[in-house]
Amino acid sequence: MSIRDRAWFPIIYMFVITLLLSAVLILFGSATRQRVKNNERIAYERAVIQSLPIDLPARLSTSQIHQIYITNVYDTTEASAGALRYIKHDTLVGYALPIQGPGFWAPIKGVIGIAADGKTITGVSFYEQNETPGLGGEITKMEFREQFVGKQISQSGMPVQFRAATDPLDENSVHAITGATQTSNRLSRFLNEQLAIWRERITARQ
Amino acid sequence: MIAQKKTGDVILTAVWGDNPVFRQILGICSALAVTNLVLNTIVMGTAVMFTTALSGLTVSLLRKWTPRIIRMMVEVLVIAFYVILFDRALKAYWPDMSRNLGPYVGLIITNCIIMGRAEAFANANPPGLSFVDGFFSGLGYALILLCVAVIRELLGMGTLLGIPIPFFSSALWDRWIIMVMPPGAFFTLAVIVWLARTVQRSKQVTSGGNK
Amino acid sequence: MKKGKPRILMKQAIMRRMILAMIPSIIAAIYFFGWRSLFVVLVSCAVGFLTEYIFAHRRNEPVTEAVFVSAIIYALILPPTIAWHILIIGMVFAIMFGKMVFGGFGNNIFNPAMSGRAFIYICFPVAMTATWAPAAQGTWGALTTWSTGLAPDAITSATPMALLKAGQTAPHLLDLLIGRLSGTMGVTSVIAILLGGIYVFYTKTANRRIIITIIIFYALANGFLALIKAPGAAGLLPALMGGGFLFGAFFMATDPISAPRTRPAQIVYAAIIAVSTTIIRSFSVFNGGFMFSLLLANMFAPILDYGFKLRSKRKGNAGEKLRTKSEH
Repeated sequence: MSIRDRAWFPIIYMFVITLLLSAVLILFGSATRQRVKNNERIAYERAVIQSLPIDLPARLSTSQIHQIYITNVYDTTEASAGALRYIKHDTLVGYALPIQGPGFWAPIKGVIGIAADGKTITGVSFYEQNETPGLGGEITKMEFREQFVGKQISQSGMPVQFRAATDPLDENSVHAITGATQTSNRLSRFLNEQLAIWRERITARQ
Repeated sequence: MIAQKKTGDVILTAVWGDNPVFRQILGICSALAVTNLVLNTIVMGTAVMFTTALSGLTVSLLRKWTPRIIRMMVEVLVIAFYVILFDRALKAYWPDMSRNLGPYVGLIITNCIIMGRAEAFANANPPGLSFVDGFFSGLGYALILLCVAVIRELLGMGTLLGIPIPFFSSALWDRWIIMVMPPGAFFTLAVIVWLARTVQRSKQVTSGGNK
Repeated sequence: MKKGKPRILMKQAIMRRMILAMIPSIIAAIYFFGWRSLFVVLVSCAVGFLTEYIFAHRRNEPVTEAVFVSAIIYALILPPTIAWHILIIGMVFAIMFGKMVFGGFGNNIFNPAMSGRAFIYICFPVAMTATWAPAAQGTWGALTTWSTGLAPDAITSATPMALLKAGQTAPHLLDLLIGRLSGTMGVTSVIAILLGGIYVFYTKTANRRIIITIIIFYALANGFLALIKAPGAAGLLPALMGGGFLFGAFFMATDPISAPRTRPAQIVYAAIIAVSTTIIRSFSVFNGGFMFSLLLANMFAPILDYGFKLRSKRKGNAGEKLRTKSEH
């Protein structure tokens, strides 16, 4: 009776194969763990920096991003009400408020930058989203994001209004994405909710 | 000489004669999901080629040892192994793409093409040939997806690989929003399967006299 | 309509009566929105005919006159400013994917005109919903103009249905009745629709049961919403007379191919359309309530037929109660 005909052989065989393959995966996984972690970190840091009023070269290497982040971006304090602080030459230049909420397919995570006056928006950036490319995915495009630059956070009601593409804009409103009503609505809801909370807290501190 | 001819046959069958997408209608779920951008599709196609080729090779290498009663478990295990490997590599070295494809790379495990090739071919053929069969089945899948993606990205966004194409990206062209969404793939794929089968049938009719 | 040689065109008396019944709406479209409307109708007829011809020719079948009904309906439920290429894409889609891929006349699951419109509605949302041409004013209407869509205020105009949704006041009922409103080409005028509608009802060209059920259920649903003062509800009369509901009830829901064939199924089918139209119009972000409802109900038509046939078989009186609608 050959070894292959024994009743225990399939079990041992499966066990050995599983062991072998998972060993390789675990090895590869741990070899790249730091890298994956860094990637996530850099994506976040990039979003923070993009939302702030910083003159950036067109292509930024990951080390440059990290450099700027560790020199100029400071953790949140009581006074900044949950937002990161961007400090240059010992003066506060702006805030970066991380926001997140449900998107159409998956959560959207991003950062909204606000100038030191606590009213002027300096930019928005998203580091995690899974919206439909070409529709909701347009929130990551410059055309959508740069609308926010220079807008004023309305001091009552909705901080930033999302309007239909055909409607005229004022200093508190931006155009929603045509064809991506759901993404626009959900983004508008959580962005405004979280911005409104921050608005209350920051005015209370000032 | 004989072996060489057989390799050629295997390639032709995998890519055209028995193409996984338009002949066997396998792997349709991912064909609908990832084909709105050409770049995503290329990466997805590469992942499938990588997995089918290597899992074919591995399953074939193990085929003399694998007990028949657990062969499917072993196949799934091998497939999952390669898919996770690819997914992890993307996460580490191409994080943007990994985010774009989202869960779809992981879902290659359930792609029927790979399991199908392992069961139907690699189980009964030598490793070299199984590798070739797997690779070209993956290619057959990737090529069809690429056709769908080119049509969808061009009509839906006016770009190819993110590069604006003259006319299609201008104001003269009304972007076909439906092409960006999954239903766009549904119709495009249907038309491609239809065309490919029509061509195939007309060839069979003309070559039928020789046989 | 066009008289073709018998081999190319299959004569269908019902379809001719349908076409005749829609002529008032075509005239209204020309009167309110300009002569371009007529060309929109003609172009979609030509494109529809060609598309069906290409398929039918390969199968050695004649083109059915039903294609002109689909084409006219399709044209009449489009905005008057519809771009030519969108018009053509939608029409090709309607006949190709809505009808011919299922095997041609008599086999389609969905109403071809509606599937064409749904396709372009989703494909070109901006072109289909952003601009609306105003209806021409004055005694002579738009009889002297090519298209009212060229007027400067075309861009700001919104349909009564969109205005209702935005919470603005309902349009004057008299305006709805005559149809001097912006909206889709052929369905703004209730009078024109009723003229054709009564004709198809009287001659039994369209299924009376479906028409009556759909109107009753729609009135009930809207009346109920108005009664409980639901936010977004249009009110009974504006809802009945606005947004081409009547056009849909008379000419589209009654499509003998995509509607169920057994009597109880027809009633359920009509009720599904009426209730879901009300729900979509009142509460969703879309304006195309009737469109989505009809396509939804189309999907259920075969299984409704199947279910009711099965039930009557169990009762043992098959063929007695459930005489299929068959030919008129």
